[in-house]
Amino acid sequence: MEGLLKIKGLNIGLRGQDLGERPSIVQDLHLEISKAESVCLVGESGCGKSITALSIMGLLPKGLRIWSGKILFEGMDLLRLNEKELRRIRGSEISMIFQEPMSSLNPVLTIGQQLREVFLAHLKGEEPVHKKEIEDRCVSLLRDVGLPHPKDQLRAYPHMLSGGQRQRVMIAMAMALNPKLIIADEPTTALDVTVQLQILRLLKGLQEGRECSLLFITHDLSLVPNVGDRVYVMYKGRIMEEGPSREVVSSPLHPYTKALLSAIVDPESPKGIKAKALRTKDNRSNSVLVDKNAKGKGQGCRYASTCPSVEARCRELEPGLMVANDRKVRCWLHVC
Amino acid sequence: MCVKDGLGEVILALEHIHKYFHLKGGYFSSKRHRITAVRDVSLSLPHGITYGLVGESGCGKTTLSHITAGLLPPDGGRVIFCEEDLYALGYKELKEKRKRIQLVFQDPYSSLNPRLSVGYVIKEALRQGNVPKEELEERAASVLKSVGLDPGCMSSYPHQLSGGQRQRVVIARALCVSPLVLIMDEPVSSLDVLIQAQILDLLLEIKERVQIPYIFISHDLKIVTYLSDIIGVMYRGEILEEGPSLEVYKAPLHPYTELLLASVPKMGDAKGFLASDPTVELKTEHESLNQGGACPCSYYLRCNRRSRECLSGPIELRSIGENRRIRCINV
Repeated sequence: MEGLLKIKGLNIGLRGQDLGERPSIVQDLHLEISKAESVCLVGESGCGKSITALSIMGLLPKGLRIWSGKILFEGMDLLRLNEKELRRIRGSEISMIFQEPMSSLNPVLTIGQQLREVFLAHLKGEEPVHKKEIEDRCVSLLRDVGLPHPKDQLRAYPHMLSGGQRQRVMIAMAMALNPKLIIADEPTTALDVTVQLQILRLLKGLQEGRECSLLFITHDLSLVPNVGDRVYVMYKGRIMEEGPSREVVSSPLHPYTKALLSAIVDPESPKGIKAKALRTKDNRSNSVLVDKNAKGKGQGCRYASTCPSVEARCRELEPGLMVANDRKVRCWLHVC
Repeated sequence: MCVKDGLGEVILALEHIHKYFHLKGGYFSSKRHRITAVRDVSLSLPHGITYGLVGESGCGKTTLSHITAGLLPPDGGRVIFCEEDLYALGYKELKEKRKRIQLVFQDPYSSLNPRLSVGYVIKEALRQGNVPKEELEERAASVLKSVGLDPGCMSSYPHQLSGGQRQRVVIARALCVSPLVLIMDEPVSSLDVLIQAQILDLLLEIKERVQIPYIFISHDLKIVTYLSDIIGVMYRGEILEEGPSLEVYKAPLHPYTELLLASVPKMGDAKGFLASDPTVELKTEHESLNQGGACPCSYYLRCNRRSRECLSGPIELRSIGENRRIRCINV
């Protein structure tokens, strides 16, 4: 398959700090997305998955800085582009769907105004577009994302829509210019389960129908085999495991992936203190405060302080990504 | 309505609770809409039982929890707590009773005062539970320990804690007054999966230790089934199905429960989850919201088993088998 996006050795850290001093927020990240492929990025909050997404869009917060690395989009390094060139790519080539549909829509503008803006901003340079034409495209977009009465909805304000409908509008805006890559940053976290299913179906259907690539960011591993072809598991800025999503979920290699999987509640499993003791012994840490101590140490595996199968060498040296067939894992357990 | 099937005495019972909210039509309009938030809900909570309420947002779960906790008077029906009607009590008595029903809210960020330290919050709650002054420090430390927090965090402020730790503080605060009932309104939905599992384990552990009944509210059928003994499925203010949790999870009777179950991501059959399933035809939310209200079955518009008979008369919650109840005529 042809590569669309390639991230090579990306390091993101705080501005004004030595790279050696502190572990960066994202460290030595390699990520690849082929054309028409959907890739999941999984990890707990604070692991750097959203920062990765923002760095692709060139929207990093001011306090952060990319220290090294390349983000190649169709062979073009996005980090070398200036703001004007970036702006042309954002929205039309790469677009993003954010987690909270309420805060990512402007409350004082109607849905129509906000949708129209996408076209107006990007079609400006070319021949003048007719107002009517834009209107029609907006209506058909809203119809594509399954909003009833699209014509009336153009005049609605975001507060008049439900959470699921707002997320549909966000998807419509992201899809408006047929981008080659869509980044969805936890698009269903704020939604109900039934609505989540609808939104995922819609997103997946549109992605497959329009043959664009999808980078799906989530903390819920149970969504991964349904949404992504491949998955990257991230922990504290590091990719811990990588591989075809179904294989990773059915036979995880890294202890952290196992912990994430065991966190998915199974109603039919035994519950209570006994079951908990079993599970914590297996692969989950008991202590909540342990994370604090783990920070600030540059060496060793980042998961060592929480890992159930930790060895002496884990604390001393961080393992590299081991490659086996199409899977990669960063753990000493899997070094031959 | 209080079923005493060998489970012990009923601590809390709701009897035919109704709640309406009135909305004004518009700024200049004199029209008033009435929204039924809760319609004819009855349930009983025996000792040591966890009652799980499932439903989408807007179905009235939270309203029901506020009514149960003594925070919002219902428009019809009674809340019986320790053999007394909660809303027939005077203000002082209500306030005293209310302490024994504790709420844990969804968002641990907004349910802690940012200016008060954890220690202050916990001690304040303990004082309300009539703990003598000299024991405060010790008791606060032990309460924090019991929810898996380091007593050293007493001097920290909410912003210094993570989401999971904050939720632990909120749970600790609720436990301080030795409540008889604990109501949890989506306690884990704003948390990460890993932290979610930790908090669920903590709740199960507390339940085994103190043996108080829980009302557990969530929109995730999987989590509710995991934690509860009895499940009530709520839709637009009504309980549509009720029964022992695993039975409901394994063999749902009501079409709406089936829909909820189909929305749970399955790990096994990967593509099957997103592929459209003919039995669960999802209507958009808008359509079903607009036209509802008139028909006797609140789920009629989204139902895949609807028939003419559904419209013929009011549909009551009827018993099926030993301990399951369902509000549907087609089963």
